[in-house]
Amino acid sequence: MKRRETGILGEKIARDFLTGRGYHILETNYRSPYGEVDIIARHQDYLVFVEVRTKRSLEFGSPEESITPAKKEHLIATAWHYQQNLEAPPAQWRIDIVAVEMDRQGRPLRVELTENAITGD
Amino acid sequence: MRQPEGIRTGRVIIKPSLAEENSLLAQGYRLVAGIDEAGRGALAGPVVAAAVIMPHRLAAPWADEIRDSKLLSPARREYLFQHITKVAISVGTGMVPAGIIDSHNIVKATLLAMKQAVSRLRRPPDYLLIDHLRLPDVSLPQKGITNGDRLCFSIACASIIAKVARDRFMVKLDRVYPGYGLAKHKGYGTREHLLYLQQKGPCPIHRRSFRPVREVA
Repeated sequence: MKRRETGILGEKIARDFLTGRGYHILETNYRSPYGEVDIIARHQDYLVFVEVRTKRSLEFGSPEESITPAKKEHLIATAWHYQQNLEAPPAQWRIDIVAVEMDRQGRPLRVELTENAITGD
Repeated sequence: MRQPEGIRTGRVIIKPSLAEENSLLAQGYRLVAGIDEAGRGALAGPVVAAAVIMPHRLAAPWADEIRDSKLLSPARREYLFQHITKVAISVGTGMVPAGIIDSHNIVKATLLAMKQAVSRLRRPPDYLLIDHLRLPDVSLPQKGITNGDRLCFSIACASIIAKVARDRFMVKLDRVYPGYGLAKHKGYGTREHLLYLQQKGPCPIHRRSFRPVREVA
Protein backbone atom coordinates (compact mmCIF):
# COMPACT_ATOMS: atom_id res chain seq x y z
CA MET A 1 0.00 0.00 0.00
CA LYS A 2 1.31 3.42 -0.88
CA ARG A 3 1.72 6.13 1.73
CA ARG A 4 -1.14 8.25 0.39
CA GLU A 5 -3.53 5.29 0.29
CA THR A 6 -2.59 4.45 3.86
CA GLY A 7 -3.42 8.03 4.84
CA ILE A 8 -6.82 8.03 3.12
CA LEU A 9 -7.75 4.69 4.65
CA GLY A 10 -6.57 5.87 8.07
CA GLU A 11 -8.76 8.96 7.84
CA LYS A 12 -11.77 6.84 6.99
CA ILE A 13 -11.11 4.54 9.96
CA ALA A 14 -10.71 7.63 12.17
CA ARG A 15 -14.00 9.15 10.94
CA ASP A 16 -15.94 5.96 11.67
CA PHE A 17 -14.29 5.70 15.08
CA LEU A 18 -15.15 9.31 15.98
CA THR A 19 -18.73 9.03 14.73
CA GLY A 20 -19.13 5.98 16.97
CA ARG A 21 -17.85 8.09 19.87
CA GLY A 22 -20.52 10.75 19.34
CA TYR A 23 -18.51 13.19 17.21
CA HIS A 24 -20.55 14.97 14.57
CA ILE A 25 -18.28 15.50 11.56
CA LEU A 26 -18.52 19.02 10.09
CA GLU A 27 -15.63 19.11 7.62
CA THR A 28 -12.92 16.87 6.28
CA ASN A 29 -9.58 17.97 4.83
CA TYR A 30 -10.15 21.60 5.69
CA ARG A 31 -7.50 23.77 4.08
CA SER A 32 -6.33 27.11 5.40
CA PRO A 33 -3.53 29.26 4.00
CA TYR A 34 -1.36 27.74 6.75
CA GLY A 35 -2.06 24.08 6.36
CA GLU A 36 -4.70 21.40 6.52
CA VAL A 37 -6.67 19.78 9.29
CA ASP A 38 -8.01 16.28 8.63
CA ILE A 39 -11.36 16.47 10.44
CA ILE A 40 -13.43 19.21 12.07
CA ALA A 41 -16.20 17.92 14.32
CA ARG A 42 -18.57 18.86 17.07
CA HIS A 43 -18.36 16.83 20.26
CA GLN A 44 -20.71 17.86 23.08
CA ASP A 45 -20.15 21.61 23.38
CA TYR A 46 -16.65 21.41 21.91
CA LEU A 47 -15.54 22.29 18.43
CA VAL A 48 -12.82 19.73 17.75
CA PHE A 49 -10.02 19.80 15.21
CA VAL A 50 -8.68 16.32 14.61
CA GLU A 51 -5.29 15.36 13.30
CA VAL A 52 -5.17 11.78 12.08
CA ARG A 53 -1.84 9.98 12.34
CA THR A 54 -1.71 6.78 10.38
CA LYS A 55 1.08 4.27 10.41
CA ARG A 56 1.78 0.72 9.60
CA SER A 57 2.77 -1.38 12.56
CA LEU A 58 6.45 -1.81 11.79
CA GLU A 59 7.24 1.89 11.86
CA PHE A 60 8.74 3.23 15.05
CA GLY A 61 7.63 5.92 17.46
CA SER A 62 4.17 6.87 18.69
CA PRO A 63 1.96 8.83 16.29
CA GLU A 64 1.81 11.67 18.82
CA GLU A 65 5.58 11.92 18.78
CA SER A 66 5.55 12.31 15.01
CA ILE A 67 4.04 15.81 15.26
CA THR A 68 6.77 18.39 14.76
CA PRO A 69 6.65 21.88 16.34
CA ALA A 70 6.03 23.32 12.86
CA LYS A 71 3.09 20.96 12.29
CA LYS A 72 1.75 21.94 15.70
CA GLU A 73 1.89 25.62 14.84
CA HIS A 74 0.15 24.96 11.51
CA LEU A 75 -2.61 23.03 13.22
CA ILE A 76 -3.22 25.78 15.76
CA ALA A 77 -3.16 28.46 13.03
CA THR A 78 -5.59 26.45 10.92
CA ALA A 79 -7.91 25.99 13.91
CA TRP A 80 -7.75 29.74 14.51
CA HIS A 81 -8.26 30.48 10.82
CA TYR A 82 -11.42 28.35 10.71
CA GLN A 83 -12.83 30.25 13.65
CA GLN A 84 -12.24 33.67 12.06
CA ASN A 85 -15.34 33.07 9.94
CA LEU A 86 -17.74 31.61 12.48
CA GLU A 87 -20.80 33.61 13.40
CA ALA A 88 -21.07 32.13 16.88
CA PRO A 89 -18.02 31.15 18.87
CA PRO A 90 -17.80 27.63 20.25
CA ALA A 91 -18.03 27.52 24.05
CA GLN A 92 -14.86 25.49 23.96
CA TRP A 93 -12.56 24.03 21.36
CA ARG A 94 -9.61 21.72 21.28
CA ILE A 95 -7.29 19.75 19.00
CA ASP A 96 -7.42 15.95 19.25
CA ILE A 97 -5.20 13.34 17.70
CA VAL A 98 -6.47 10.02 16.43
CA ALA A 99 -3.72 7.47 15.98
CA VAL A 100 -4.52 4.68 13.57
CA GLU A 101 -2.24 1.71 13.33
CA MET A 102 -2.93 -0.86 10.64
CA ASP A 103 -1.46 -4.01 9.25
CA ARG A 104 -0.07 -4.49 5.75
CA GLN A 105 -3.54 -5.32 4.42
CA GLY A 106 -4.95 -2.07 5.77
CA ARG A 107 -6.88 -3.58 8.66
CA PRO A 108 -6.92 -1.45 11.80
CA LEU A 109 -4.83 -2.90 14.62
CA ARG A 110 -5.24 -0.01 17.01
CA VAL A 111 -7.24 3.23 17.03
CA GLU A 112 -6.45 5.60 19.83
CA LEU A 113 -7.94 9.01 20.60
CA THR A 114 -6.02 11.64 22.55
CA GLU A 115 -8.32 14.51 23.48
CA ASN A 116 -6.86 18.00 23.75
CA ALA A 117 -3.56 16.65 22.51
CA ILE A 118 -2.18 19.91 21.19
CA THR A 119 -2.34 23.00 23.33
CA GLY A 120 -0.65 26.35 23.32
CA ASP A 121 2.88 25.13 23.87
CA MET B 1 -3.47 44.89 48.08
CA ARG B 2 -1.01 47.71 48.61
CA GLN B 3 0.70 48.50 45.37
CA PRO B 4 4.47 48.67 45.20
CA GLU B 5 6.12 52.00 44.57
CA GLY B 6 7.07 51.18 40.97
CA ILE B 7 3.49 50.75 39.86
CA ARG B 8 2.24 53.91 41.48
CA THR B 9 4.97 56.16 40.17
CA GLY B 10 5.43 54.38 36.85
CA ARG B 11 9.16 55.10 37.08
CA VAL B 12 10.70 51.91 38.34
CA ILE B 13 10.24 48.64 36.49
CA ILE B 14 9.57 46.11 39.17
CA LYS B 15 10.02 42.39 38.86
CA PRO B 16 6.97 40.16 39.07
CA SER B 17 7.09 38.08 42.24
CA LEU B 18 6.01 34.63 43.35
CA ALA B 19 4.25 36.02 46.43
CA GLU B 20 0.75 34.97 45.31
CA GLU B 21 1.91 31.55 44.11
CA ASN B 22 3.83 30.87 47.34
CA SER B 23 0.90 31.85 49.51
CA LEU B 24 -1.40 29.56 47.49
CA LEU B 25 1.15 26.77 47.76
CA ALA B 26 1.12 27.20 51.55
CA GLN B 27 -2.67 26.86 51.42
CA GLY B 28 -2.33 23.54 49.62
CA TYR B 29 -2.92 24.54 46.01
CA ARG B 30 -0.61 22.68 43.64
CA LEU B 31 -1.56 23.71 40.10
CA VAL B 32 -1.90 27.47 39.95
CA ALA B 33 -2.53 28.90 36.49
CA GLY B 34 -1.64 32.48 35.56
CA ILE B 35 -3.91 33.98 32.90
CA ASP B 36 -3.54 37.02 30.67
CA GLU B 37 -4.66 38.29 27.26
CA ALA B 38 -3.08 40.01 24.28
CA GLY B 39 -4.65 42.19 21.62
CA ARG B 40 -7.50 43.60 23.63
CA GLY B 41 -6.94 47.11 22.32
CA ALA B 42 -6.00 46.23 18.73
CA LEU B 43 -8.16 47.40 15.81
CA ALA B 44 -7.75 44.15 13.89
CA GLY B 45 -7.35 40.46 14.58
CA PRO B 46 -8.35 38.27 17.48
CA VAL B 47 -7.99 38.67 21.20
CA VAL B 48 -5.75 35.87 22.45
CA ALA B 49 -5.48 34.54 25.99
CA ALA B 50 -3.01 32.19 27.61
CA ALA B 51 -3.14 30.12 30.76
CA VAL B 52 0.17 28.87 32.16
CA ILE B 53 0.94 26.54 35.06
CA MET B 54 4.59 26.92 36.04
CA PRO B 55 6.56 24.53 38.26
CA HIS B 56 7.16 25.66 41.86
CA ARG B 57 10.90 25.33 42.00
CA LEU B 58 12.41 27.03 39.04
CA ALA B 59 16.07 27.91 39.45
CA ALA B 60 16.64 29.00 35.86
CA PRO B 61 18.56 32.16 35.00
CA TRP B 62 15.96 33.19 32.40
CA ALA B 63 13.22 33.15 35.05
CA ASP B 64 14.80 36.32 36.39
CA GLU B 65 14.00 38.04 33.11
CA ILE B 66 10.26 37.34 33.16
CA ARG B 67 8.30 40.59 32.90
CA ASP B 68 4.96 41.76 31.58
CA SER B 69 5.21 41.17 27.80
CA LYS B 70 4.73 44.89 27.15
CA LEU B 71 8.05 45.59 28.88
CA LEU B 72 10.04 43.17 26.71
CA SER B 73 11.45 43.36 23.18
CA PRO B 74 10.05 40.94 20.58
CA ALA B 75 13.35 39.01 20.59
CA ARG B 76 13.28 38.69 24.39
CA ARG B 77 9.67 37.55 24.29
CA GLU B 78 10.50 34.81 21.75
CA TYR B 79 13.42 33.68 23.88
CA LEU B 80 11.31 33.53 27.03
CA PHE B 81 8.41 31.88 25.16
CA GLN B 82 10.71 28.97 24.24
CA HIS B 83 11.83 28.54 27.84
CA ILE B 84 8.37 28.88 29.39
CA THR B 85 6.78 26.33 27.04
CA LYS B 86 9.66 23.92 27.67
CA VAL B 87 9.38 23.86 31.47
CA ALA B 88 5.70 24.67 32.03
CA ILE B 89 3.53 21.98 33.59
CA SER B 90 0.84 23.03 31.13
CA VAL B 91 0.11 25.83 28.67
CA GLY B 92 -3.23 26.56 27.00
CA THR B 93 -4.24 29.31 24.61
CA GLY B 94 -7.62 30.66 23.59
CA MET B 95 -8.58 32.89 20.70
CA VAL B 96 -11.70 34.88 19.87
CA PRO B 97 -11.82 36.47 16.40
CA ALA B 98 -12.76 40.01 15.42
CA GLY B 99 -16.29 39.11 14.26
CA ILE B 100 -17.16 37.76 17.70
CA ILE B 101 -15.53 40.75 19.41
CA ASP B 102 -17.92 42.93 17.36
CA SER B 103 -21.02 40.88 18.14
CA HIS B 104 -20.25 40.23 21.83
CA ASN B 105 -18.07 43.20 22.91
CA ILE B 106 -14.41 43.06 23.84
CA VAL B 107 -14.83 42.27 27.53
CA LYS B 108 -17.03 39.23 26.86
CA ALA B 109 -14.70 38.14 24.06
CA THR B 110 -11.66 38.45 26.36
CA LEU B 111 -13.36 36.40 29.08
CA LEU B 112 -14.29 33.76 26.51
CA ALA B 113 -10.70 33.58 25.22
CA MET B 114 -9.48 33.18 28.82
CA LYS B 115 -12.03 30.46 29.50
CA GLN B 116 -10.92 28.63 26.36
CA ALA B 117 -7.29 28.92 27.44
CA VAL B 118 -8.11 27.32 30.81
CA SER B 119 -10.08 24.51 29.20
CA ARG B 120 -7.13 23.69 26.94
CA LEU B 121 -4.73 23.10 29.83
CA ARG B 122 -3.84 19.40 29.80
CA ARG B 123 -3.48 19.39 33.58
CA PRO B 124 -6.59 20.94 35.15
CA PRO B 125 -5.56 23.80 37.46
CA ASP B 126 -6.81 24.13 41.03
CA TYR B 127 -6.50 27.92 41.25
CA LEU B 128 -6.52 30.80 38.76
CA LEU B 129 -4.57 34.06 39.01
CA ILE B 130 -5.92 36.46 36.40
CA ASP B 131 -4.78 39.85 35.25
CA HIS B 132 -7.38 42.33 36.34
CA LEU B 133 -10.49 40.19 35.67
CA ARG B 134 -12.33 37.27 37.19
CA LEU B 135 -13.94 34.52 35.14
CA PRO B 136 -17.59 34.62 36.21
CA ASP B 137 -18.73 31.23 34.91
CA VAL B 138 -15.66 29.21 35.83
CA SER B 139 -16.17 27.42 39.14
CA LEU B 140 -12.46 27.22 40.11
CA PRO B 141 -11.15 29.34 42.99
CA GLN B 142 -9.60 32.43 41.47
CA LYS B 143 -8.27 35.91 42.07
CA GLY B 144 -8.15 38.89 39.76
CA ILE B 145 -5.03 40.97 40.37
CA THR B 146 -4.80 44.57 39.28
CA ASN B 147 -1.56 44.99 37.32
CA GLY B 148 -1.15 41.23 37.62
CA ASP B 149 0.91 41.13 34.43
CA ARG B 150 3.57 43.26 36.13
CA LEU B 151 3.30 41.93 39.66
CA CYS B 152 2.65 38.22 39.44
CA PHE B 153 5.13 35.75 37.93
CA SER B 154 2.60 33.27 36.49
CA ILE B 155 0.49 36.03 34.95
CA ALA B 156 3.62 37.63 33.44
CA CYS B 157 4.48 34.24 31.90
CA ALA B 158 0.94 34.03 30.47
CA SER B 159 1.30 37.55 29.06
CA ILE B 160 4.39 36.43 27.12
CA ILE B 161 2.71 33.28 25.74
CA ALA B 162 -0.41 35.21 24.70
CA LYS B 163 1.58 37.99 23.08
CA VAL B 164 3.93 35.72 21.10
CA ALA B 165 1.09 33.40 20.00
CA ARG B 166 -0.98 36.36 18.82
CA ASP B 167 1.94 38.10 17.08
CA ARG B 168 2.76 34.93 15.16
CA PHE B 169 -0.82 34.66 14.00
CA MET B 170 -0.95 38.32 12.96
CA VAL B 171 2.09 37.68 10.74
CA LYS B 172 0.12 34.82 9.16
CA LEU B 173 -2.98 37.00 8.76
CA ASP B 174 -0.85 39.59 6.96
CA ARG B 175 -0.31 37.04 4.19
CA VAL B 176 -4.10 36.64 3.76
CA TYR B 177 -4.92 40.33 4.19
CA PRO B 178 -1.88 42.13 2.82
CA GLY B 179 -1.43 45.87 2.49
CA TYR B 180 -2.28 46.94 6.03
CA GLY B 181 1.09 46.21 7.61
CA LEU B 182 -0.46 43.69 10.01
CA ALA B 183 2.83 41.79 10.36
CA LYS B 184 4.44 44.97 11.61
CA HIS B 185 1.92 46.63 13.93
CA LYS B 186 -0.05 43.42 14.72
CA GLY B 187 -3.36 45.21 14.28
CA TYR B 188 -2.75 48.01 16.74
CA GLY B 189 -3.76 51.55 15.81
CA THR B 190 -0.42 52.92 14.66
CA ARG B 191 -0.28 55.89 12.32
CA GLU B 192 0.70 53.57 9.47
CA HIS B 193 -2.23 51.24 10.15
CA LEU B 194 -4.73 54.12 10.33
CA LEU B 195 -3.43 55.46 7.04
CA TYR B 196 -3.87 52.12 5.25
CA LEU B 197 -7.27 51.74 6.87
CA GLN B 198 -8.31 55.11 5.45
CA GLN B 199 -6.97 54.29 1.99
CA LYS B 200 -8.33 50.76 1.67
CA GLY B 201 -11.20 50.54 4.12
CA PRO B 202 -11.53 47.69 6.62
CA CYS B 203 -10.91 44.03 5.77
CA PRO B 204 -12.76 41.04 7.28
CA ILE B 205 -10.52 40.88 10.34
CA HIS B 206 -10.97 44.53 11.34
CA ARG B 207 -13.06 45.17 14.44
CA ARG B 208 -15.92 47.24 13.15
CA SER B 209 -17.19 48.00 16.62
CA PHE B 210 -13.97 49.92 17.36
CA ARG B 211 -14.31 53.60 16.56
CA PRO B 212 -11.32 54.17 14.23
CA VAL B 213 -12.55 51.26 12.07
CA ARG B 214 -16.20 52.32 12.24
CA GLU B 215 -15.30 55.80 11.10
CA VAL B 216 -13.77 54.59 7.83
CA ALA B 217 -16.18 51.70 7.20
